[in-house]
Amino acid sequence: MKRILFVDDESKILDGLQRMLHADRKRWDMEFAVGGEAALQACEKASFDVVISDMRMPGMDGATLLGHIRDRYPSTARIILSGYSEVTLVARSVHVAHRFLAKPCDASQLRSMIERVCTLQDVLCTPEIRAVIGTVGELPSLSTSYNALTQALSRPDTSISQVADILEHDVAMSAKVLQLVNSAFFGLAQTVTSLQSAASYLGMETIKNLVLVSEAFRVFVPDSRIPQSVFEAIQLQAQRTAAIAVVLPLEPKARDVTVLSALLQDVGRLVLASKMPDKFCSVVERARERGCEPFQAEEEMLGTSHAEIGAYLLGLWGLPNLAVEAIAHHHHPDRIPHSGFDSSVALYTAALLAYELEAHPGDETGTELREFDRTCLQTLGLLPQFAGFHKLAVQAFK
Amino acid sequence: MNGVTPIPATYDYRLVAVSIGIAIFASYAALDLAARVTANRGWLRLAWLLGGAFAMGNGIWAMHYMGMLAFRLPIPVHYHVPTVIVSLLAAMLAALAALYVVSREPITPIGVAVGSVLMGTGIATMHYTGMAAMRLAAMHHYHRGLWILSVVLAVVISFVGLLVISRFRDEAHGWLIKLVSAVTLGLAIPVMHYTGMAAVSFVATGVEPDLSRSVDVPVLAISAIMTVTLFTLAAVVTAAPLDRRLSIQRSILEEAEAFINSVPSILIGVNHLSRITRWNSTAAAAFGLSGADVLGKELADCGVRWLWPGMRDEIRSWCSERASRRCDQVPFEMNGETRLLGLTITSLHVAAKHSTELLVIGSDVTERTALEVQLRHAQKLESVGQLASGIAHEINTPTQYIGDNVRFLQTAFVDLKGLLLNYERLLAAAAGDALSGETAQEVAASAKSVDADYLLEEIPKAIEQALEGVTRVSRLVGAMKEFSHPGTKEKIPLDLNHAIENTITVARNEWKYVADLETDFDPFLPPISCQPGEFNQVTLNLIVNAAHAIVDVIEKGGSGKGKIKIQTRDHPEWVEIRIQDTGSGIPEKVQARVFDPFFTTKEIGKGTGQGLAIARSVIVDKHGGTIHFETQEGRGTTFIVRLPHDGTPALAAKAVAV
Repeated sequence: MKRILFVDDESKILDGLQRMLHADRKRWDMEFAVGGEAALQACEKASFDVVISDMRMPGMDGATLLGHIRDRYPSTARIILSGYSEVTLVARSVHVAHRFLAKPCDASQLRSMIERVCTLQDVLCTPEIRAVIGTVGELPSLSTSYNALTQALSRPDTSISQVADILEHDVAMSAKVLQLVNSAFFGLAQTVTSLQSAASYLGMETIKNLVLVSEAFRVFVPDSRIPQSVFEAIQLQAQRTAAIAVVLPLEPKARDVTVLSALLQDVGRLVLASKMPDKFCSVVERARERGCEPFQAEEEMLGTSHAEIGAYLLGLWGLPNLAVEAIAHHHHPDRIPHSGFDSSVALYTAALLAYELEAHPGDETGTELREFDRTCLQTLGLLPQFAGFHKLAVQAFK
Repeated sequence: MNGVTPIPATYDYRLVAVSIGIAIFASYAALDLAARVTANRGWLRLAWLLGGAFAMGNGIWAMHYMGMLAFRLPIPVHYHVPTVIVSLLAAMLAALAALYVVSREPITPIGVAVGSVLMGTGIATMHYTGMAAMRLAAMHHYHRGLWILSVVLAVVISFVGLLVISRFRDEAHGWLIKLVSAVTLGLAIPVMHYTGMAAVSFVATGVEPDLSRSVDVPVLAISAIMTVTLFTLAAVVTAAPLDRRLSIQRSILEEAEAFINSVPSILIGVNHLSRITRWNSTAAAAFGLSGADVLGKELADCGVRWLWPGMRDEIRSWCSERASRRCDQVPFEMNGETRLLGLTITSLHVAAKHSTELLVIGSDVTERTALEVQLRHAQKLESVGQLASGIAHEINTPTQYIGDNVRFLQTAFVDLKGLLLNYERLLAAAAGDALSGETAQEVAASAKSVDADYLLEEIPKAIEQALEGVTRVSRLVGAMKEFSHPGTKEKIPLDLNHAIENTITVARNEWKYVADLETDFDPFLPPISCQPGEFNQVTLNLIVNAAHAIVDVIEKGGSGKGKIKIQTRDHPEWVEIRIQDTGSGIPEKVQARVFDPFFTTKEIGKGTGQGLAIARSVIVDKHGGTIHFETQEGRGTTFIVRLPHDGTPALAAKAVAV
């Protein structure tokens, strides 16, 4: 049973939540703590899978509490539930919280949020993934520039020019980031030539994430036995998916997350290609023999797939949790709790369109879709919109 | 020359000396003239140039004829008048060329060279034309070498002369330098003349010269020429400093005028007869009336459209009393717009006229006044904006638990309904005598599955808390409405305790995380005539400041929440409100400034620095009360506001640290 801790300085809020979630008492083991100190004490007795905390509390506030929990219990999912929607407070919680919920929120929002983070936890905490990660051995470390950047961004007073300074020391990385910034994915009106203006257009968090993209492609170089074309195909699929994600009808924030996860969707394959080349080759062989997708071959042979492996690793590297979720589920939209056209659904859709445009360029109505995808689209309620999406995707490549 | 004996010539050395003296004098005049021509512009420059050329040419020419007079021949000598006039013209043209060159800016070496060739050949022309004007019973012969030397000397001396003049023409150089250069030049010029004279020798022909249009030049006539020349030169030399003084005075006046006009304030001078004597361009622009429109008119009736009915009498009283004073925000109309003036009237005694005049200095403060109003409004908006997110939080919190509780009630009702149906079945079975143990067990199981005990225990609490939340929201909304008092600008009798209670509610989110708030209200506080919106603004500012002072302590590592205590007390003549905090206190060095507008200890962008300035203006200026504080660094501050009972005169204004 998932253990969930609710924290607020107002006991009436906790009373209300307890009553409202009474019906869930059989699936969730819920505890309620008044204030940050009490919450940490509760954690010491037995750790929790999910912590949901208010932001502003006297004494220890929500950001501080979740910071402690991140450091002591890294696998605990952390959610902020706050009556403030101010940008500064949200920004402060970004480094410590996986998700942000605004008060007042209704029961279904809260439940689906808890379900989602639990699902992701379940998907990523399997023995199979641990086995693969164990085999991979020591993960390649990220560059000092990325670490410096992460540290700088965790301080509240870091300025855009400081961020730009850190990046400019790494010429290869700056070039890669500027290339990404100026790609069509971010729809900037003019070419950006400095990291400083890139950071002020897109925000420092986005720049950090783009650095992560360049890092991922830098540290996982496929083994020499694997043909270069595989690496190129992975990159091409990433670019095409991102280009489609840009034109899909998404909120700007969700769009940025989708573009980011599109670029990183197959990092898991890079991990396998560089760290377990034998396995990678036999997966490719199996997929060819069986005429199936690589991820299906991976699931057969490893019990997990590159989607989960990549998501797990990127989660460790500090990728936004929403992007981690999108990547983890991008071959399994059936695992996405249904809550509208969000970044997870969008990544699946964009990746599918990228694949379909390649495989069946003329198929506007989706008649050539694989049965599995058709069912998924049906379940997600997106089948009627497929033609429209297809048209948008075609335009994206014109 | 060819064996012919020349006529022996002698020199009258006294006249030679006179001719040298004339040369020196003319040189000095030339230096002065050069300065004059340079200093003037336009037609005045042309006049000085022509007049100067006339005087200087005359001087050179006079020097020549004085030299000729000094040259004595044993035979009678006459002069051909038209040729003499031509030689005079040549001298003047040479002088014109010279003056033109040295008065130009900038002086170029080429210019000086060209000028010296012109002047030198002019002088040589003058000299030899003058020689050709001689009518006597002799032929003149020229020694070629000396003749060339004299022309070259004329050019060289001109060159040196022009260089010297252009170098020392400026007023900055003392008269001594000028004099020395004049003497040098004056000695050099006759060198050319006497070289020219040395080049000539006369041989008697015995033929009577053609004496038509010729005159004998007696000493007397020469003396007359000398006198005229000397007078001309003297006139020039004496006129020059006079002109210089005048032009200096003119430039001082122009400068003063330019200063006055460029002052960005309105500047009006009024004489002892109350008439306008001065009206600078700022005044002209501000009132839309030019100097020509108003100069000489009475200030009270000069055409400015004052919007104060009593303004003309006010102005007349300035003029009659002649005392210094200030007038703020004086309205007048300009292009159909109402504008505001700030005026300072200063009386000044003008010693030269033995009279007292008025100086009116002012500026258009329309925009500034508008900005001040906006700033005050901005402070109000700032506190409202700051409150808004706090209030949103204050509303979001109860809304959250109202929603949670009601949703709980919704599902609880469904559960209870199911349970009730089971009980009905049980009841029906009992009524039909079909009651079986099985049915009873089923009902018991269903009661257990819906957790009936929990529901029965929690439903009343859920209802209670939901209702409490609703009360909290509606109280907050009510308090906000009362707090802002839209539309009430007039003073109304106000229950201060209630008003403060409201403000505490509205500001709750500002203090609740950092402090506990305690109130100690005097229940017998009489109502006080107040502008409620303004009064609430003051209490809000004081409460928020108290909370911020406590945040400072917490951020510096202080432990736990602070405390804010608000007390009201009635006194025989006033009521007193004390707002006490356990914050950081006010450092001694800023204590005197906390009520100043724009003074703030908060970070840039965190406050307009108007809070306490507005508090003072509201309490002291609008309500006749007092505001002061007691503070101890590190221990906290208490702000004390006193408002007079209705009917009590204003309390003495004071705002000092005690």
